[in-house]
Amino acid sequence: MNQRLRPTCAALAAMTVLLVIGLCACQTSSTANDPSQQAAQAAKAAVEGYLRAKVARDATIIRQLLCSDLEPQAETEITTFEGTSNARIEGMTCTRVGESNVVKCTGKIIADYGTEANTFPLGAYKVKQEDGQWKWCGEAPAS
Amino acid sequence: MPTSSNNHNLPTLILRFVGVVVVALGVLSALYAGLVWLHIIPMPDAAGIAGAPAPPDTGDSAVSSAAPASADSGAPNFTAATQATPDPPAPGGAPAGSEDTPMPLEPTAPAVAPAPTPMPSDGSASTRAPKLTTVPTSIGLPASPTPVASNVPTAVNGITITRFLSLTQKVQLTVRDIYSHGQKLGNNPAAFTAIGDSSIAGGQFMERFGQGRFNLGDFAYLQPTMNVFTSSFKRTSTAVRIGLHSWSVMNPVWADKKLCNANETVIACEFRLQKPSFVFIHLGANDDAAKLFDKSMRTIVQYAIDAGVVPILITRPAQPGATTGNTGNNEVVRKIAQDLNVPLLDFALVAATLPSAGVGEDGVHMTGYQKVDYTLPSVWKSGHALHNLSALIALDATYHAATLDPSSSQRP
Repeated sequence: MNQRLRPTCAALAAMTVLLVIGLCACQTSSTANDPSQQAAQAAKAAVEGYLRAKVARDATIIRQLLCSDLEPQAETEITTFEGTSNARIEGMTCTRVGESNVVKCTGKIIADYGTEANTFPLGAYKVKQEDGQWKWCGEAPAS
Repeated sequence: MPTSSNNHNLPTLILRFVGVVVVALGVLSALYAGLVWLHIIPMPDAAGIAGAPAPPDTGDSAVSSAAPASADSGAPNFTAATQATPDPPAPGGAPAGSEDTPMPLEPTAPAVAPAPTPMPSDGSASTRAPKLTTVPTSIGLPASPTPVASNVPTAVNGITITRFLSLTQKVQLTVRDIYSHGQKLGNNPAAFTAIGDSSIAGGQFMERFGQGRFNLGDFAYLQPTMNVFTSSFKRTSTAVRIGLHSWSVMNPVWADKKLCNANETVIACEFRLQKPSFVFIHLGANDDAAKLFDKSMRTIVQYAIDAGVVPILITRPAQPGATTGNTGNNEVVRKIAQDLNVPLLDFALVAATLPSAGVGEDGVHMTGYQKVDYTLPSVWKSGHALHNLSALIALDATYHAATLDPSSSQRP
């Protein structure tokens, strides 16, 4: 390569890197400042966190992420996979449906019973914001 | 030329008269026999029937029947093997009950109660003497309206029905109240369902009677009750699932997502779909938390009661000294049945008569059987076979307790 071109190439590469970094920063800033996006992320995180706690039988997190309407069902929720072994989630992807209070998930929960594997498909879940925190509030009708 | 009448002398006339009388008697006898055979008129003498040799049991003849049109219309025909008596000819000469020519069974309405299973009074656990009852002589036809003497079995494998089926007068009163409440709520009087785990999953429970021909043997008196619940025998409950626990029954996660609504529990979904009047509850194999099992079972039973569905609780086979299968839960089940005055099918007692208590190597799941024929000796060694027969007996008795006319009830 021509030695005179080397500084030019280096400069172009540096500019490209800087441009990409700049764009990413703008995008992050844009997401962080968009309340809608924030809500979507928080709602999704609440559902995913709740489902993970459910299979892990983590009573503390289940109670934290359960909406007040369903507090009477907390024990039922905590014992959902009681008696099964190796309960786990596979391929979970959750997305808030538009601006609604519904988070739709794909993937499945698998819980073993003896040599049998019980499969529970993930679906749509209601979410509710209480005291600024998004909470899981039961299943939502499939659309 | 003399006419033929001129040939009549006295001996000839007498002979002709006797001949005509004999032929007439023969025709009348044949006509009478035909009417009896067709059940148009009752049997003249029950003792004579009991003493008559029964035709050989081929186990092959089968008839089809339909459920009561009012409650079970649209249900597919129900095929059952006759026990011993050949089927009468259907109009047109085709043999009634042949597989090619299914014949609908006369509806067995709750008001026309078939022979009830012997029921115990409070504190009674002894074998009762055979009683007068109505026994169908041919499946596919209405039972003879005339009560005939019959040795209705009072025990299964030596365990009296009154011992393994707790249906005391107090329980019968509760049953009647629950059933009556359920009818007001719109429950189907001709439907039952089940809630259970792998012990009764895989079509091993009452579905076996709906899968094809069967022979009830000495328990043919249960047939009329089976005819009432035709479609239920052909259906698999959504509340029967491998790995189901008592605490999962009230949890929407465990409900069948293809059939159940969002947030609908297993039991709520099944009751909505089936609208049963009776529910067998067979749980406990997976429930290793006794306290939670007790609490969850009481919740389930109370839910059924509130929904007007008569719960029939079932204990599990319990191998002596078994450490698997949570057989200790049987005591919990017995206590709940006693506390809430609901029917208890204590199958553990019957299972105890079977090799390995009727369960396989895992100590949990019951042993199977091939042909649903209760005249075969092998069937009486199978856990599932006796479980299903016991459940049928419990359904029959509970159904009769529920549908008893209040005006003529046995209320003290």
